[in-house]
Amino acid sequence: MTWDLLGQLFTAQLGLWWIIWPGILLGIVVGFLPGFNAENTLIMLLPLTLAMPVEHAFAFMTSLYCATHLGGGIPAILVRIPGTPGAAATTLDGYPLTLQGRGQFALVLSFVASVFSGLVACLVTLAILPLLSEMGLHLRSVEMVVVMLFGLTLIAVIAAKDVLKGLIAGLFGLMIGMIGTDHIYNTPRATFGFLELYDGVPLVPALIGLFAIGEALVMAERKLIVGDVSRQRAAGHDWGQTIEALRFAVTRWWHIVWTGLVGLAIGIVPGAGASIASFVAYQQSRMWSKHPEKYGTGEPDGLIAAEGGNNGVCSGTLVPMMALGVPGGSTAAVMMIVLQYHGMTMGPTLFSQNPGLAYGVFVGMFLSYFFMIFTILPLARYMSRIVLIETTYLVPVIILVTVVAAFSERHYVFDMGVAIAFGIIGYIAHKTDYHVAAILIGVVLGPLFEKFVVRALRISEGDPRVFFSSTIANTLWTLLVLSLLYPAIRAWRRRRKGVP
Amino acid sequence: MERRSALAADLVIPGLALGFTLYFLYSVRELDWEAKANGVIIGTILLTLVGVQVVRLVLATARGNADRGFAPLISPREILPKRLGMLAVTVMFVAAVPYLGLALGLFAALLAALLVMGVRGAKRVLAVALGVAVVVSLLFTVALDSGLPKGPVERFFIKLAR
Repeated sequence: MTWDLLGQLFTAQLGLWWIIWPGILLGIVVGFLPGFNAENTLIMLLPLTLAMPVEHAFAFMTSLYCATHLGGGIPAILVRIPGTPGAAATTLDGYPLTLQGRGQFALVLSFVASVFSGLVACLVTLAILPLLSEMGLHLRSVEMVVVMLFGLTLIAVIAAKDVLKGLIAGLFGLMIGMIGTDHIYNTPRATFGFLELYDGVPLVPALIGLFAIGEALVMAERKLIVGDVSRQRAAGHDWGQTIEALRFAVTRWWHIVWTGLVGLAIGIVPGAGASIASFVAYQQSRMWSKHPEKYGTGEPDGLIAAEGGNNGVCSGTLVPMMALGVPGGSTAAVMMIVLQYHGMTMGPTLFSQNPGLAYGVFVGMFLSYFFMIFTILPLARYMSRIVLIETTYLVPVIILVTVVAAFSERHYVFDMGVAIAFGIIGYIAHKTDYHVAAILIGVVLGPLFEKFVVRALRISEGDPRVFFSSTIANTLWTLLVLSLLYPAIRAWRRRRKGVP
Repeated sequence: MERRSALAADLVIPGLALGFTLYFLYSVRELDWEAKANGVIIGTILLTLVGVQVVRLVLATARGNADRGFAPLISPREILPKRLGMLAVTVMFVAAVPYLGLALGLFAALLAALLVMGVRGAKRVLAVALGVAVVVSLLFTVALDSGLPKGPVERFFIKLAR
């Protein structure tokens, strides 16, 4: 790619501001609402995007897609309800910051981390796109199993209060994720006789139940989400708080950059997605932190890492689609349908035959993030006031509105019941310290993990040694074990040196 | 503040995990190995961990480091009626929404839920329930066309639009 082409693409995409901005606004709203995501919104808007010229359609779709990733973090921070599964890790430190009366600070920090990690990921993708696209070619089922396990083992580490409880919660989620027909013979398993569960456990009702309903039932104990001191601090927020958060974000620029790159790398792996990316980035951030014990109690670096990973993934998921013709996620699959409708052929030839489109997508994404920060930042001050509403109003509204949202994914009233069932599990897990996010990640990863395990075992005719049969897989195994052992080794070294 | 362990409460999630794992393994007992391999691997590990947790909690209780009851799940007791009331209202809402539709069903459920949560004042309760029901109905049915069940209110407006 030449500088001339890059300049032309920037000019062309800037001219599409009138379509990028509505995409951003719609994306933020959609991301905010549990039950709606970029994928189902883009499906609903297919008649619109199919009728547009392909460049316009792609600018609209990418801006909406990126904005949903940013929007999902807003309810995660304010009321501990992630708008999208990718924002589940954001609750870990975002919500405690809100409880401290620093909701506005947390929102601004999350917006800046989201936007700048997204920008960095776009730039890196533009620079090394052909190279990145080859990464996906080297990841087979065996390597994918290890990547998935990497996400799963984080569960125990993240649930640091009690590793055993974290593991039980994560594996329980994995078992629930296996409900439905198997991948080879389509025979139903553990469906309790419900036809609605043949396709597996619906993720949106699971997310809504575990986080929204479970948390709302816990929330009923308090008059306000925040305590009296925090309420005064939240009520007194002015623009100075926004500026303070911006200054803090600037000092943590490197943290934003590398967590965004973690998200990018994981996004390139087809199927891995934002929920794994954000947890991996969070875990890595904690592992390398000088004060890992503060994670989960309102540590700004934890919030940055979760949002960095969640937004760095956006560019990554489009890479295998553009370079190999393999969509990196469900939203990318919808985008691919639109492109194919317009006669575009994805794959390596795209870069030689239509470089304007291939690179233009990432330039458009870059500009979307750029516009996004100016759109969302002024609103943080007002959004953070939600914590001043009494829980006697919030609890009924959260529970009933999110139950309605549970219907949106598949249009089954049954799914509203699923949300209530997960709500009860979520409440029990909240109250007994079994990590709710661990259960959710288990449910999300379950079907994908099983698919790759069975595929690898079939290839090896049932020989489990296949999981240690490649250099990449073995390297990943080693890194996985090291990352699990590192906190223990560091704690031991600190004890030896007499550091408390 | 660290929560003191409670034997019964801390065993609810492991109990659910145990029950579900056994049900899963029972449901795949006659299937081909591809359909059960992953479940058997994960299920075995999970059952082992549940066993370890049970032993750990029983030992903690025997040493006097944990209580036997369900205290964390039902405390504070004065909130329990609100929680159960909210769950009951939500279940009734889900059962009624196919017949009442979103707008009327949500309005009625919000009225009941606000009263259960202790909000008083007829005007205030009505205003909040009506406002939220209108906004949510417009958002989900008009703006996002999410296909929610239609009741008398929706049918009336459809007729009016024709």
